[in-house]
Amino acid sequence: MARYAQLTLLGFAVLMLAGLGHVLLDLQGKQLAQRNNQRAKDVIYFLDRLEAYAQENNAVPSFPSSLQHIGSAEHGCALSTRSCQISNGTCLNLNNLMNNRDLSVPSDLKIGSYYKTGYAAKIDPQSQTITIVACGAEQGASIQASRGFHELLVPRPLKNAKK
Amino acid sequence: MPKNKVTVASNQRASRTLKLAKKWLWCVIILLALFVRFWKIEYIPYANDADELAYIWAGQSLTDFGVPISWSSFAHTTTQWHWTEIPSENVVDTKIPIAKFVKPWFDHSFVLPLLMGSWSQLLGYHFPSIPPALLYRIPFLLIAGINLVLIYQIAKKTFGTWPALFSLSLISFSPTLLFAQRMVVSENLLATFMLLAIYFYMNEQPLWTLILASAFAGLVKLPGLCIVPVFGMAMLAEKKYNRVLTYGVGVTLIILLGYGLYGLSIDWASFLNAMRDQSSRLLGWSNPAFIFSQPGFHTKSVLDFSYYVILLLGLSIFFLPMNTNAKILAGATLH
Repeated sequence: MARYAQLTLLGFAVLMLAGLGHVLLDLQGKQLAQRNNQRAKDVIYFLDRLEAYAQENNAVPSFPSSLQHIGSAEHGCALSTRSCQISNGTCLNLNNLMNNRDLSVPSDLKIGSYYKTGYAAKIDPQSQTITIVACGAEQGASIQASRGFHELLVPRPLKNAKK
Repeated sequence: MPKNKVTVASNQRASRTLKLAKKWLWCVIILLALFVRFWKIEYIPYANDADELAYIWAGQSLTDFGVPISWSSFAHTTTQWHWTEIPSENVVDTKIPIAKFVKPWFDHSFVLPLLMGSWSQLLGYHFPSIPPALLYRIPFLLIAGINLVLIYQIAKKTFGTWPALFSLSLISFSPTLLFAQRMVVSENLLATFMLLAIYFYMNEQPLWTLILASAFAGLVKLPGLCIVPVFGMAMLAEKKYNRVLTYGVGVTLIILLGYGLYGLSIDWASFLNAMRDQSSRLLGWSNPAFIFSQPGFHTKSVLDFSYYVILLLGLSIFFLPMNTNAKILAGATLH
């Protein structure tokens, strides 16, 4: 019995060390790739929420023409990463896109928080195109997505309106 | 056949049956205990308990992304991460559950999240999702089995076979433990290493086994380190000073190395903050009356009753004649 107990202990030690090493070292770069995949999903999610908001309200929140950090913080939002150079110290709060005060917009897995998400946004006023950038993108990846909102924001005639 | 020959034969048969029962009854009890633990494992206690989900999500995020993320009952003002809905086909409710995640999540150690994260990955579930309770509770059947074997072996070593069978039966079919041993909570794995440490000490196994088992108890959950002074005092009483020193240094090194490497590789500053914030975490244990007045699963009187039976029988060890093994068990009970 004592031998089995020792083997159980050793087996657990080996498994735990191997698991911990695998998770913390990420030698194959699998976690890094998965983090970047998540960022790519998140920037699309931002645009989908914006589109849903625009369709519902026939307007989008006001965006700056240069990148602004998304988050609920009121100061300390300047950010300098390989993907983003943001000097504006105020964050752009987009949590109202979620239509629920218990939900928030996504945050970056490494550099993001509820207050400073690690994502940034800007608008091209000419084409009404909004761009969302993942500032925390790793390994030289550039993760961003843009969507034109011109069509959605043009006043449309009401459906079933009497002529 | 003469009458006395019949009596001898029947006595021999009875004695053989008794021997057989003595040898194998514990296996039968453990198999029955595991069967009972498996029965309706996905319903009782309720699936998706918040504590279970804390470990599952921390594990999924740790294995998927290398960052522990989960919900917390503490007011994390600086580490709030993302408040989101959890899509799950396993939650039959009109409202989709919402989780307010914190990152990095250092409320508990990394051992159980690592186990649950790997298990989740094997099952094909990723962060943030809720696997079916029938699946995510399965590893805890194995852990319950190991704990029951160890309880029997320790009790047998200390009190003999029949008292050991009695305590095994009690633990196997106590409703409170039946509930608790199914759940994904670190106390179950913590118990495994504490029991292993006690078993190794009682059976005079090499010191490295005691060091490793005690250190793992602390790595699973810091209160597991309460077992260290129990063995330390016992070794001091036997005047084995070198052994005490090696034991203390060995456990300390493994604990510091384990937690230190983990904290360093995730976020050292947040790790230190979490340790500081939670160093005064008492959760009611500051008041001894808490142990008596708030049984685990304090919902039904039968559960309260089974809790008090185990508690009072456990404490009755102090009224028994003490040999070294009984002293170790008494010390462990106190801690």
